[in-house]
Amino acid sequence: MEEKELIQACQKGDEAAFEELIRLHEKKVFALCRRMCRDEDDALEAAQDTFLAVWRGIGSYRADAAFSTWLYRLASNACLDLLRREKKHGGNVSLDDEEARIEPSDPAPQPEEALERAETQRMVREALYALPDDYRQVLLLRETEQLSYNEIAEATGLELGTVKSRISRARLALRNYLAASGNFFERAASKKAKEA
Amino acid sequence: MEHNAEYKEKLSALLDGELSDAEREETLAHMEECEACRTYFAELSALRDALGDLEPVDVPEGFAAGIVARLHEENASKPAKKAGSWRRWGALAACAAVVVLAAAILPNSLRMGKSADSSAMTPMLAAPAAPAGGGDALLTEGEADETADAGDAALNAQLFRTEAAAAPSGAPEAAEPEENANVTADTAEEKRAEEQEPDLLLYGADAEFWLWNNAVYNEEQDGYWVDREMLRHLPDGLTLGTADMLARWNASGNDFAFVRAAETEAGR
Repeated sequence: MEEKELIQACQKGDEAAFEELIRLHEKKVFALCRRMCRDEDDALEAAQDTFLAVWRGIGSYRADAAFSTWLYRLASNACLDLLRREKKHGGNVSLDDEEARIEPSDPAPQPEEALERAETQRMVREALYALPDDYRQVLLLRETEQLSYNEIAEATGLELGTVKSRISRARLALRNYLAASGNFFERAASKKAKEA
Repeated sequence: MEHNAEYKEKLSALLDGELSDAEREETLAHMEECEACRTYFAELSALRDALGDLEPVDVPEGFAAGIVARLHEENASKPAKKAGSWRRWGALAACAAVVVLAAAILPNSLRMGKSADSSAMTPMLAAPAAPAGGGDALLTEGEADETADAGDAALNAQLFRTEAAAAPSGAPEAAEPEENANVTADTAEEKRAEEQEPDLLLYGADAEFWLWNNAVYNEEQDGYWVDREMLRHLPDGLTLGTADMLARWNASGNDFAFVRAAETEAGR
């Protein structure tokens, strides 16, 4: 079934259609939630909340607005909501927990390249999480979900100019964080030189 | 390097292909002359590469099926309901409809109760939050409270029926209904209605409208996201309430109007 038909079926309460609709969009919702939230459990919860909100709200979803825009709005809200709750209750996964999950446990010697890559990934994740939530949100909608500024404006309800400046400031903050915390840019430059 | 500040945003937009042709020309020409900007642009590109190179995100096995299963759990005690549907029930105890829910405006705060004496019903209203044109979708608790306090008087004309309204009161602290309005259900349908705990309830002289599956509960703010559109389709002359008739609602605008329930003294 085409997405439009799936949506109509969902509006009539068709759960099988809903499951298919989820499958169509789960990857991108998950990608956003995973990068917005601090750990996998939170990402899973936010992704679940997103789709539950889809089901609850689909009765009033109007076909004149792009479904994915609405979906991104719900996903963003679910993440921001969860992050707000976490802060309120003081629950924060420490960076150590994060690393413990992701560090390779393979005792075999790793090629230096792979180690460097893992380290870069860790630094970038850390820099991302250091951003204010709503700055991270617009940056991810741009970088991870590849939405245009207009689409981001629609999904977030922000003015176009705000989207533009917020993305720019998010990048500047990321850049400053990474410049200060390691040799991220030196590595990036030498990597590029190797590829040239 | 003062000029860099103005160019940072342009370089960011250039990276995204979001500059006009003229701006793009101008920015590229500037970059040929300016090493600092060339460096910054290279750094932005490196950031983009790095963000694209994060470890891939995998969707857990059975994610979609799990959500559908969870829907079943949540609906286990409820009869199957169309997503986002209204259900019309016969009147419960007599209750005078006093408030017109203006289509475009959701009352920011509405407190009402139900008692044998319908004239004791005093809906209280405060200003609706202006639809946040471009604002954030969620209000913090603080913000919601601020909007609840603002401009009480202005709203009343829009929210009450001009003639038939029983004692419309703009005063936020108008008299509260005394009785605990636990509805007694006479018919089987009404009994079921009691058990189902709809998200929202609107009621009028003849009928009640219960909303399921179209309100998203926000635990932190103890309220519901409701699509304002759903409310437009209802007839005039309804009062907004909850199954617990003494709940007070605060609402603010957006695609999803946020309706927040605050406990009254009796409800605590």
